[in-house]
This record gives sequence, C-alpha cells and structure tokens, in this order.
Amino acid sequence: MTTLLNVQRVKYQCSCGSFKSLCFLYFCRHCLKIKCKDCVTLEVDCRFCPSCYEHLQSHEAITRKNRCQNCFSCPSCNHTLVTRATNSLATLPSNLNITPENMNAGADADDSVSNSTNTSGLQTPSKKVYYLACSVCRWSTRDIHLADQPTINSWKAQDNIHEGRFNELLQHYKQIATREKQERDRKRYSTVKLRNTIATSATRSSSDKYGVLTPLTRRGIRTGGILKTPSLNENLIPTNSSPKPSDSIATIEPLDETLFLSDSFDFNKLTTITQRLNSVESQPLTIDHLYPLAKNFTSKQSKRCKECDHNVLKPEPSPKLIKFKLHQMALFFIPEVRIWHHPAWSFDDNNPCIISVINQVDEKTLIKLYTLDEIRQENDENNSELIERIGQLDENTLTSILTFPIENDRSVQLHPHVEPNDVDTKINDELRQNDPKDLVIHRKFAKLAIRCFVKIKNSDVKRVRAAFVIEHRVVGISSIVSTPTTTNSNTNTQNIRHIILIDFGSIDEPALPLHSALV
Amino acid sequence: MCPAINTGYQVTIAPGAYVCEERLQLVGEISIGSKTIIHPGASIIAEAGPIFIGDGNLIEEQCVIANRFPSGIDKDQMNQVVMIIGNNNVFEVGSLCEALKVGDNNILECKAQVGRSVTLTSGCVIGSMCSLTTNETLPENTVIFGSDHQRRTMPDRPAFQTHQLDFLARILPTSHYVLKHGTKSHTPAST
Repeated sequence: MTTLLNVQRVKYQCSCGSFKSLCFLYFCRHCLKIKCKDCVTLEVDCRFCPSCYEHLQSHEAITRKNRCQNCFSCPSCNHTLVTRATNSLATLPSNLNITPENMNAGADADDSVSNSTNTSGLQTPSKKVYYLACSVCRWSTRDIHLADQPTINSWKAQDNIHEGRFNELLQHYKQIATREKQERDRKRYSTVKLRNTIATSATRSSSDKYGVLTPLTRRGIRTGGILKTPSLNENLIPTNSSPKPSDSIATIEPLDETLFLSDSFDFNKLTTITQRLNSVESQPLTIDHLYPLAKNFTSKQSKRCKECDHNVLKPEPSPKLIKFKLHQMALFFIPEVRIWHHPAWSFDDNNPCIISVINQVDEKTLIKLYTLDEIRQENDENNSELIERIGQLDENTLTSILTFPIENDRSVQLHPHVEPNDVDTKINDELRQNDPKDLVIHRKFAKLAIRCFVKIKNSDVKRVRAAFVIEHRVVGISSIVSTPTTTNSNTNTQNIRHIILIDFGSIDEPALPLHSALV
Repeated sequence: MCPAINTGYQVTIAPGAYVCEERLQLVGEISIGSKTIIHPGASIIAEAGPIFIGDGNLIEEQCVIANRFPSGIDKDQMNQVVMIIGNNNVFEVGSLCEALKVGDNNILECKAQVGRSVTLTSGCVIGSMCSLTTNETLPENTVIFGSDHQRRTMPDRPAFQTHQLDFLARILPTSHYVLKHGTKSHTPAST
C-alpha cells in the first residue's frame, strides 16, 4: 500500500484528453463526462478574508481593492500577522515609538494580565497597547518603529503613493470607453438593420472593457440593455483632459561596483524580490521600509461545465460553511483504481500485477474491464471517439501492454460503498461466489483486487506505463425533467467508459510487498 | 545512529534546576546549570565529550542535545570535544542540537535541527523544521524561517522566557519526579 497517497500514479482521461488524477477531476452529470479544471468555467461566488472570514459583496470588495481592512499579512514572509497585547506606562507616551527596552517586563506576548508591579514607584495605571507580530519570521511592527496602537483594530494599510496618478489614468480611460461606446451606437443606428448576432458579439467583447470579472455566461444577458440606450452622440464630452504623460528616465545612476566587495554593506538589510513585489505600490528597497500588508481576499468559486453550462461544483456562499450545494467530484461517481502490487519488472514475460478497484457509489455497480486492443477491435459506432482517443496515445505514454487473465466478459459486481452490516456480509459472500476466480483474487465489500498482466514493450523502457478501459454505469441527471414523454426512466442512466493510465513507476523499482489479505 | 560506547552517565545538577526523570536519556558527562528546566523525554547525549548546559535554559520534550562523534572519524583517536550551551536558550519540542557552541538567548523551534559545525552566537532563532548543517557562525539575532530557510536579522533579541520558566518550576514538580541537585552517576551493569 505504498501507493496510498501517490495519487499521481493512476490517471483518468478527462473529456478534453488530458490525464489527471481522480481527485482533481469533476464529473458532469448532464454530459456524463469527466471534466478537469480546464474544462470548467470559474465563477466567484463570495469573497472573504481568509483570516477573519469577513464576507463582502463583490462590488464592495472591489472598492476595497479585495483587501481586508482589519487583517494584515507579514511583509517579510507573507504569513498572517497576529495582534499582540502588552502593557506600557501611560506616563511615557513619548517613548511609545521605540520600546524594546522598557518593554521587557511585559514582552511576554500573551501576557494579558494587567501588570501593575512594574509601575510600583509611580502608581500610574498601566495602559494596554497593541502591536502586530509574525509568528513565523518574528517580524513585528516594532521592527520598523511603528508606534504601538491603543486599540486592536486601529491599523491602517499603507497609502498608495501613486493613487492620484492611477485615478487620473482610470478617469482618462473611462472617458475613452464612453466615447467608443457612443461612436459604436451611432454607427449602429445609421445602419437601419440591427444585425443582432454580430452586434451582440461585438458589444460583448468591447463593452466588457472594465467588466472582466463578470462571468462569461452573464455577459450575454447584460449586453441586451445596450440596445435600448438612446444615442447620445451630441452630448459628447470632449476629452480634453488627457493625462500627463509619464516621465521617462534618461539616465540611470551607474551601479557602484565596489558596493558588493566592501564588507560594510549589509545584504540582510535589503528586501527580497518577493517582499518587494508583495507591496507592489511602494516596492521597498530596504527592510526598514516594509509595512504590514492588508490581507488579500480569497474567494469561493463555483465551477461550471463548459459544454452544458450546468454547475459541477457549487459551494455554500458563506465562508464559514464548508459544505457544498452541489459537489460533483469524479471521486464520488467513478470507481477508484489503485496499484496494489507489482513485481520486480522483467522484460521477457508478463508481469503479474494486482490493482484494486473501489466502488465510490452507494449502490451496487457493475464494472467491465477492457484492454485497449479489445476496444480497438470493437469498431462500433458508439465508441469511435474512444478508439480515436486510444489512437492518440503514443509510444512514449504507453510503454507496456496491460492484459487480463480471462479472455472476455470481464464484468464484476461491486458492493455499495456503505458501512457493511450482516446483510451486506451475505451479499458480499454471494458476490464472491460469482466472481471469476482468475480475475478477482480478493473481495472485501466495495473493494476488489484484480489480477492483470503487464507486458513491457521493449527493453528501452524506463517507466512502466499501461492503460486499460473501465466501463460502469452512472445515473445522470436528465436535462428535460418535467416532460411527460420521457416514460422510461433509464434514459439518464448510461454506461460510460474511461481510459485509465497507470504509471507503475520506474523500471528498476523493486517489487511492492504483497498485502497481507492477498497472501 | 552510532552505538554509544559508554551508556553510563555522570550528571551534575545545580540547585534550582528541574530535570524530569521520566524517559530522560543521559549519556556521558553532563552538567546542568541552575534554573534550567528539562521536560520529560529529553535526551542529552555526551558521547564525544562533556556537555555543559548553562542557566535558565528550557529543554522541552523529545529534544536531543547531542555531542556525537563526527562521522568517519576513528573514535579512539579523537580528543574529547566540549559542548557548551549558554544561558536562557529555548529548545522547543523535538529539536535537535549538535552545535558545539551555543550562546545565550537562542531559540530552536519545534523540530529544528542544528548541525555540529554551526556556532550559534546569541539571540538566534532557528524556525520550526529548519535544518542548519552548514559550517558557519550565525550572526547575532539571526532568524531562519520557512521551508526555504530564509534569513533575516531581528533588531533585538527574542524575549526572555522568565514567566514560562517560573511557571514550569512551580508546576513540574507537582506531577513529575525531578532529579535532586548534586552529582549523580550511573554505570551500566552489563559492561
């Protein structure tokens, strides 16, 4: 069972042709196809701070530049900063800036008990102050001599020094966008016929100049409104306020070559590239200009099949809920295949291997196993696509041939994936009776061990990779639900086939130990 | 792991130190300074020479402080090398320290490893899971952190653990057998 977490060993072919591990795949129950992350469209459902779970509407989040106001991450290592409380003498407000010396009594970070002993001489009440510290790299706001704050949430993100310039440019481009839109409208009304199809496709691409974040599917709906807008061609705002062009730097100060040779230069004072790019507005050169970064929002995303536009994954829109409204991972619908055993490889004969198949569905499933050659010979109308796909697998991908012990009709029943009880044990025994003994060598409820043979194609092979085809039944969701004409309910259940590529590892890998259940 | 030549030990514990007896592994000549606290399950292995541990150190569970023979050296030919650990150092759970010179106020976070040819000066922090096996002297207040072993220099040394030490000195003897101060030696019966 060394392959327990080596999920990259067994890969399933996605409907787009790429091979991915089962745990990274989705399953669309409308198309009855495996979908990988490239075959789905993303839609941001909710934006939230990963640290305090503050949940904001998308437009609100955008106005805050997708950053949290209360949480900060470390400018040195990007870890979340924690607020630490300490006591300080209220009589010494001027010393709040630099406090390493007068702090040592209360410097123990989590000491929140009001410490009045160190003020014994003065009898003044001690005051609680807060600073931010990183638990990973021990950076703190005191390192850059930021004054401790009297309240917890009074930290402010650093002002963007280029804000004015950004606004100026944004204003300018908005004007250009308006002007372009008006010109376009004018053109459209001059030609009497509204060529609907072209018009919508044109508006979709250009009206979205500043709406890149809206999902593709909603864009089509929104463009409908543009048709109704009256032509404002006479009210053109003259764009006289073109922004100041950026200054080009003519000469760059040459680098002092002795800088790196002299011992006086302390490289620890310089920031790394990552640190600079994390605070991209200011891009500090030395570490004393680092400033706490406002925490970036993260998002929950729903995923949509590109083919049929149905959701394959839809989380609950609250950051605190980990459940899903719709959760169609391929792992829940498709039997999982793992490597159980392979011998030390030999080039000459068939290497007997054992793979396990686990049923993930909570009902009994019949699976059928095919070798690639059998699929090629079938030459059916239905699986021409599958044959084509098999044809695309080249020599470099498939370095060996996988065969099964019995010649035809390799169908096996799989027990439902549930907590077994007494009845299930009986069913399990029954199923075991019916198993083809050469093929199935072990059975334990939803799990099967299947014997197969791997023949390595030639002696140049470095990695042993083989593929086979699995067929099983899935219950899909019919797209037309409410029509009475669909009398037979079997229309939405269908047998589907997947190509499974198994990477048995390097040729000189020693044999995997046989599991105790199989000995 | 090289087999210990001498599994006996001779330990000198200063007054005010708390050394928990439970699952404690001691090998060789060891001296432990006052106010030092050693949690149960720590190992102090002085194979290649004596280990001197200063005052106010905190050595947590599953820590290994070892003065081992360097690999590839004839053990009989080698002179004894002394390992000195200064004051107020913190060895967090599961850390391994083989550095021969450890100054004051250093922190080895959980599962940190420090090799034999490293010298820790003072105020250094070796982050959790960081392993340092280079041949160098760390400058003062260096912090090593993260999976990439990034380094930075702190403006001041990490805070003292006085509260924690006082607390442990009060609480540990209530639930653990603690070795008495003085010198204690033990020679295995088998050899």
